[in-house]
Amino acid sequence: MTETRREFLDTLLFTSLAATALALAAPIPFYLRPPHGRMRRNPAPVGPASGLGEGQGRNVTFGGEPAVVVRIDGKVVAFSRICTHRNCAVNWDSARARFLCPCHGAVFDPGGKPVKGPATRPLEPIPCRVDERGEIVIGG
Amino acid sequence: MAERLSWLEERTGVVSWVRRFFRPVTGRPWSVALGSVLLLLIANQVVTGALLSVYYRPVVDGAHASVREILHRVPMGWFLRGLHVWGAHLLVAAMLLHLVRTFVQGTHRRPGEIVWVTGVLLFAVLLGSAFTGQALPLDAEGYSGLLVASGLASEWGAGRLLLGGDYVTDATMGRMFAVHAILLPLAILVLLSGHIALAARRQSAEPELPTGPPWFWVVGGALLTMLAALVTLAVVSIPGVGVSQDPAGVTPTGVKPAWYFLPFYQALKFIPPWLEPWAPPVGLLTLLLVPWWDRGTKRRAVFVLFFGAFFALVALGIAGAMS
Repeated sequence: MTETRREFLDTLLFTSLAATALALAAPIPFYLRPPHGRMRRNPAPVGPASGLGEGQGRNVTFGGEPAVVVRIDGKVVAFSRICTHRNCAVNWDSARARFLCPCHGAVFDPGGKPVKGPATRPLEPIPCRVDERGEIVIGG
Repeated sequence: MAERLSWLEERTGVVSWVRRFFRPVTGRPWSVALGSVLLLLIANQVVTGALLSVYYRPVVDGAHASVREILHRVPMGWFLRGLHVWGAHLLVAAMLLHLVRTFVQGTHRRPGEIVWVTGVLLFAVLLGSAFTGQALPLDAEGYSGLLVASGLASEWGAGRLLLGGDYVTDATMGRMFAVHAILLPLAILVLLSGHIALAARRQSAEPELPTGPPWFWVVGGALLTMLAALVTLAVVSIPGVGVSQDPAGVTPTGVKPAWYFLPFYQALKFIPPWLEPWAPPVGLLTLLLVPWWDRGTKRRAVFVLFFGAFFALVALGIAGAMS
């Protein structure tokens, strides 16, 4: 009788300990999850448009995202530099008028469309304008 | 003298404890030597890593500068970092040898399954340590590696968890540092204790293992050779730090990961994108289950598959290095 009572208490204590340990571990995933959803990003000036010649590009960041502004056919456009293959940051090659990914060899045309290599989706365009003072503003 | 020793022995047991190390080694001397070298290399990573963490700063605007500071300004910083970086290379190489050695000798087979499983998990955790460690200087390799890993992780819904947000920010650096310097070393400590305890238990259960030269000679000689190699490498070929890359920087052409990630790097160029996120977990699971494939009379088939896969990875790695 005492033996079974003792066994019962042992089991009870063990179960309580295990349950408490699990309960203590439960907040960890919530803690590790990044706090906000997609970062709120305000339109940001990234330098004068006059400094950007035809066919030239300028690397910028947009709320931490590597981005590039390029002047093509007189118009300033912006793209995310995150390669749609495996997320490396692509470079604008002004001589070849292509976006090149140095990691796995993806190539994109000035419109952001993939033309060679392992990428299949186009680069993500970012809204971009030139404001009244001649400043390039991305995200606005 | 003998009287004093027996006084000490009676109170601590330390004399007979030390004498044990002069007994003949049991098992194959080369295996014992390789195991002790692995342990030494892990200890080296712990000590030099702890010292590097004194000066390292895990922030986007400062990580690279702090590594440069360790290299060029901190007295002997270049040496301690050299030991850490070369130690990592040698550790992965020694671990691969240890894995192949175990497979060839067949110690993973029954009843060695759990030792093998803990060993493969250690291998995975150490590769994770190597990856997070390379991200810390935030040079071009580290930055691109982070981006690629986040792309793969996001296939499993864990991309933001890895980076601590959508892009590489200070949150990312904090995560990488915590994982590299605290969480993974803790995991290694737990796994390694289990691995060694189980391996020792298994070995002592074997009735007739051949004995060889004194244990101390085997292990001492191996450690001395390894330390000499490590120090020579750290002094003769000081590992530099790659060019700094912040998110607005140009990604240099030919950016590549460390040699042991090259097979995967090369594979990413041509395997279908849906397959990529599956490759690491499936590879790990296959390796974990080797003791269960390799049973009874199937040894030859498993041998061919194991070395077929091994040399395929080597070939991919070489192709990646030359591309």
